[in-house]
Amino acid sequence: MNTSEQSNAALHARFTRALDELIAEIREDRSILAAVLCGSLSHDAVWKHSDIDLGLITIDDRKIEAGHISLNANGLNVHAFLVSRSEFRKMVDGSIRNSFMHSLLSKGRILYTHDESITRLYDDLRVIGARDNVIQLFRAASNALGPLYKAHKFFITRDDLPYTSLWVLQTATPLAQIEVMNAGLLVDREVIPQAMALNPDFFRIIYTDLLGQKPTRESVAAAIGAIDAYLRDRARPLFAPLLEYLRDVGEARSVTELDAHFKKSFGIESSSAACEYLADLGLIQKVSTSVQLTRRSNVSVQELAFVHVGEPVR
Amino acid sequence: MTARKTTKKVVTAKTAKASKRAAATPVTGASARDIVPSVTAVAAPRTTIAVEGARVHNLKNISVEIPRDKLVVITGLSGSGKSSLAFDTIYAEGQRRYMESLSSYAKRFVAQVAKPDVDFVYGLSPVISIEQKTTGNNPRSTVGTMTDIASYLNLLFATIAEPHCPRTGETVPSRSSSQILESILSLPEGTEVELRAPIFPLYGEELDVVFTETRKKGCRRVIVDGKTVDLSHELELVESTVRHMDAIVDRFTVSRKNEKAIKAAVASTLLIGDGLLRIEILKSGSQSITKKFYETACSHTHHFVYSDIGPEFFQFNNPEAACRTCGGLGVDKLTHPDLLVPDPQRSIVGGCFVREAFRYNPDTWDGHIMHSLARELKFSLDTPWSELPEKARNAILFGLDQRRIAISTPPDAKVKRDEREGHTVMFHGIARRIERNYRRYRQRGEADSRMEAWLDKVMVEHTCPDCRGSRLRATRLLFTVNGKTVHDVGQMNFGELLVFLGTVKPTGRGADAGRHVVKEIESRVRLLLGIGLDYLNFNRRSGTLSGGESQRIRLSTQIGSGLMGMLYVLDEPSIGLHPKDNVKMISTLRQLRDIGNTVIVVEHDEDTIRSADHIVEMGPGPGVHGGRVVVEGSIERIMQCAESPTGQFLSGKRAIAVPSTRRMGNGKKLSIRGARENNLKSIGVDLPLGTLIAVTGASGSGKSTLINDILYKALWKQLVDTRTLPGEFDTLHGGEFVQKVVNIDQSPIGRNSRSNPATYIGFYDTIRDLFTDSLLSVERGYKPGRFSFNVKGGRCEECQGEGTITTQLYFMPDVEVTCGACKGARFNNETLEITVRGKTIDDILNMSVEEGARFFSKEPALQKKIAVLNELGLGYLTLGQSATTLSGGEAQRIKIATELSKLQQARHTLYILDEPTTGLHLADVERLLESLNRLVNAGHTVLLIEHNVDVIKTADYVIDLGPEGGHAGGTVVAQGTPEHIANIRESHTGRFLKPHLEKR
Repeated sequence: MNTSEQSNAALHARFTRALDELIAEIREDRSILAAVLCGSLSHDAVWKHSDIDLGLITIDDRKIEAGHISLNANGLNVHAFLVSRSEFRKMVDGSIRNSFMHSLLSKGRILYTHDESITRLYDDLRVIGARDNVIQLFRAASNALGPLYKAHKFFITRDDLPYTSLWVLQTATPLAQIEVMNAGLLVDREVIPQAMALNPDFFRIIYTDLLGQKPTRESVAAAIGAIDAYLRDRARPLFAPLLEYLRDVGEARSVTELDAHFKKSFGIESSSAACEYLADLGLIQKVSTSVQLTRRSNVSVQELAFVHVGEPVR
Repeated sequence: MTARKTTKKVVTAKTAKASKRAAATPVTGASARDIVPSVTAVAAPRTTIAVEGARVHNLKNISVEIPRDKLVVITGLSGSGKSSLAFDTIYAEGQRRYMESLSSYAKRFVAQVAKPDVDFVYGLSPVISIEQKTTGNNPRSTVGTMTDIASYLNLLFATIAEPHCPRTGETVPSRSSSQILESILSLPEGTEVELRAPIFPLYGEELDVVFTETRKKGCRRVIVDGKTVDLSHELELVESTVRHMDAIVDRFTVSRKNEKAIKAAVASTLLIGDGLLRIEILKSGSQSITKKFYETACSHTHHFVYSDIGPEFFQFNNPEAACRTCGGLGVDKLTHPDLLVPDPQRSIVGGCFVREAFRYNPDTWDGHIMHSLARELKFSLDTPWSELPEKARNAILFGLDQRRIAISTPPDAKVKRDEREGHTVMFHGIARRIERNYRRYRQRGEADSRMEAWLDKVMVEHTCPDCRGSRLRATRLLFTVNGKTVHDVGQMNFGELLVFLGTVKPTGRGADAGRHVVKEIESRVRLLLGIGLDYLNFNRRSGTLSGGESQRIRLSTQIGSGLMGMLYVLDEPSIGLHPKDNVKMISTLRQLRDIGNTVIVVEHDEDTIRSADHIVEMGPGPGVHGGRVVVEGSIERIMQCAESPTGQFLSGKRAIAVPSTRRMGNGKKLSIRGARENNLKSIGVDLPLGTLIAVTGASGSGKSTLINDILYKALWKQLVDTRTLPGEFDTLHGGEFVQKVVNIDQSPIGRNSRSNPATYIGFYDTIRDLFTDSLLSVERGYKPGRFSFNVKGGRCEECQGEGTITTQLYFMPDVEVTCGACKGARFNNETLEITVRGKTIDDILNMSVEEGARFFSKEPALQKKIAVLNELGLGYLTLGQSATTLSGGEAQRIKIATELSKLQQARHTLYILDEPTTGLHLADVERLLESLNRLVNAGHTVLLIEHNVDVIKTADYVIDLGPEGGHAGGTVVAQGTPEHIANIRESHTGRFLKPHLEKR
């Protein structure tokens, strides 16, 4: 064990000791049913400025309010959030797998519990359902499209390599989420290192090369090309909800209608970028439907719409 | 007691004059009321309401004493000042004094009443006016909510209704949350229990949406038809086959230490399950305990239990209880083909659809699809809509379901997209697209704008497919009393309801409260039956009630309140009532009086006048010729008074004559067959053209439905607007004999003060031309617009041609003062310098119709139009009288005058009048009949919906519907001459008509 490792081990021990002492006190509080350790201390390395993220599950009592409180445990900051058991249950069952809340909770561990049903709920967090995965992949892919579009634009129109690189780098997080989720793994807050382990060649082109060296036309073009190919190759599964919906309805739907549908059915706010992308790939067609601009408009104009067309009749 | 002592001191300390002054001061709240009666209480209790120096409208500084605690009728010719005395003086002053008692803060939130022009009104009580007003079109207002009985019904159901299982129909216990908790805790410690909530999807809602919503509520596992599924996984479900779904809300081990967790879980489950919860024991130490628990704590098969139910659980205006598809309205909207295609003679390319629905453009996607559809179904886009095959029309409007069509570019498209050519798409139809948008707008709450107005034009209401018109969520209809749901009970007419309530024998937990509620509902229903509303039910929308029905419902509510010492002012309660129902109305008025109230009724109905304790006749003539008390006192006194038109009619010295012969018409007829809208029982009637026809029958018998909803709308559709949707009927023959149909109702002739008889009838233009042609006007180069108070130029700009200026005083009533610049003349000085035979334009507008007819005797065209108004008894109106000051009866007669002044014999016209005698004295009715007969004698047909026997007896042909209202109506009792009707034993109308015909 070298000096750095020794120092880290000591730091970890300090955090653990402080946490143990705090938990020993909290355990005596009859209004707290369980404590859940989240954040770095639960699954990652800590450093001297780390804090301890602690979830405290309270009994269900209308006089107990949910909220956050900053505690001091032997000089260490503890950010605790209090949540009743029933609300905790809703968080566990209601959060889409691989969402931020799910990731936060599932990467944590129960420190103690007076209620065994909480352990069972916690165990359920490990299960990642395919439907949730489809939704989260669609969300991540849609999030990658915005910065990718900007990267294309600034590469072509301005030849501004650093600025283009910045936009390329912004695609790295959602693309890393796609990579991790496709591998059936839980998405970390630090998802890029996770993805780099899974697909080092791809993330070297779109991430490491652009960060580690001065961007050149070749490196930026390679990064954009790699992302294009990455998304194009996976377009059907990544955008499956959109493709399936348009295929099922069989006729054109305006962007307003599409947004309303995906918000209601999957909680996804915007689908227009994904539609444009799929239309560019030729998987759907860009068309239009008649619309009035305002409630008082006396003329109709054409609103952007998309349609999934079937195979030609032979 | 303290107040009384104080007032006694006041009385002894003041002189009589001072006492009178004190009495005249506004009565404000309880203290003021203590002062006023006590002043007179020393001598004798005040037994009258004394009005002194009333000058409102045409009242000529009159003084009148009206006995308190009596039924008083104020009668007189139309425009004689009845309403000015009853409503604008007595009611307005009573109302004003009450408003005075409010704080300045509270006054800011209520419309203030100006002090009527009267010296004093003594002996006023708290006053309530019950006018002939419909309750507006709020679709959430029903007879039940208006009368407040809906609340009692909800309470009854919350108290004694029996809940049922949504799946098996078996009885489900109802327990409070605490009781549910205790029953769970009564299980042995260590028992594992799961709480589940049934999921009730919205009508037509996709499972994806249902599951997303369920997930948002914090449930990940759902039992779909017995199989547990995890919502985070992909689900292989056939949507159409899914029947039952339960969300697993929580699972726990029974233990006192988990009490709070269990309590919270019960609450969450009830919230998700809409008041219903399912308890499943997963692991138990004893089979017998489990069995016993299922037998006692919940329903046997599915282990459901309802939470404690309150009245709001059944209230359709409560968002938590309202049907989620229609939002508690009971109706949904769907497009109607006739409304989408206003001109079926046009083709799709020619623009047969309403603009917003579809406009063919070969360069848009919609254009491509329409062209592709035409190719697929082999029809031409240039063929008129009416000539397209039905299959094609259906496909265009409602789509092709799952069938796909090949995309093809129209030949006239500017750009051809080869990549799409031949590919296939589906087409769900134009109507379906509008409906989809409508649902989206409603969900987003955006459909309350112009969009809704447009959607209303192309959509019609249908019963909500989810709640089937009950307005409630399905779980609410699982509660029954004697096998009836709250909706079923609301559907019963009041007669049936009273019988039903008699069979309700509350038992069990809520029996005592239930009996009390039943008694309360029964007493209120009896009041409604007492005023002839037996055909109505509580679910009936308020907007569909006539003014008379609304008034009677409000009247019953007042009687139900049991207040005494009140002053009620009513406006013609006999309107809309068949004579047989009028008897009941009079008895209700007496009841109101007998419980200790003063009832003042403005009325023309003979039976009501004869039933009054005291009668005040205003007159003797209308308008400027009226405004005085002609006679007051008992019926005998009125009949003896030679100056009293009412007395003349009541004593039989004057009467509306029965015609010696009945007109046979022109030999043509309108024939309706299979009329079945509302309560009409597929009836057929014939209307001989060229005659005066009266449609009669009990209230609610179907008269208005037959005439207004079917006949008028069918003819309107045929002659004017093809988008009109008449009520249901099979055929209408003879429509080709009618060239014009006119509905002359009592709606105002204009909504603002700038409309008046001269502008409505159209002779104001001729008057302006006369002024324009005058010498000085020609010299100055004035145009007709100079003499309009609507446009800049000749009008007074200070008041913008209004003649008055209104100042807002916030918590005091608005003050309207005569314009200082024009002194009320509405025109500027230059304009007023122009005269015609010595009269300015202002003089002309202030001229009465009588004067006008004389003044314009040298202008025959103008004189003829004004003379018609005079002949209809409107001689007292001024030519420029603001439309807002005209009564419904006056407005209707102005409309008749308009028709009479432009009679076209060549175009056979059908005039429809719904109760034209409303607001008319018998003397006015006489004049009205004269004018209607002029229309008939000119070759036209006049169709009246009428209850007034004096009018019915003069008709050439009578169609009597009934025999009763509501379910017991809707058939033709008899049709023929009045003499024929009088001989039909089953006809209530005939019974009342007979004595009138025998008087001839």
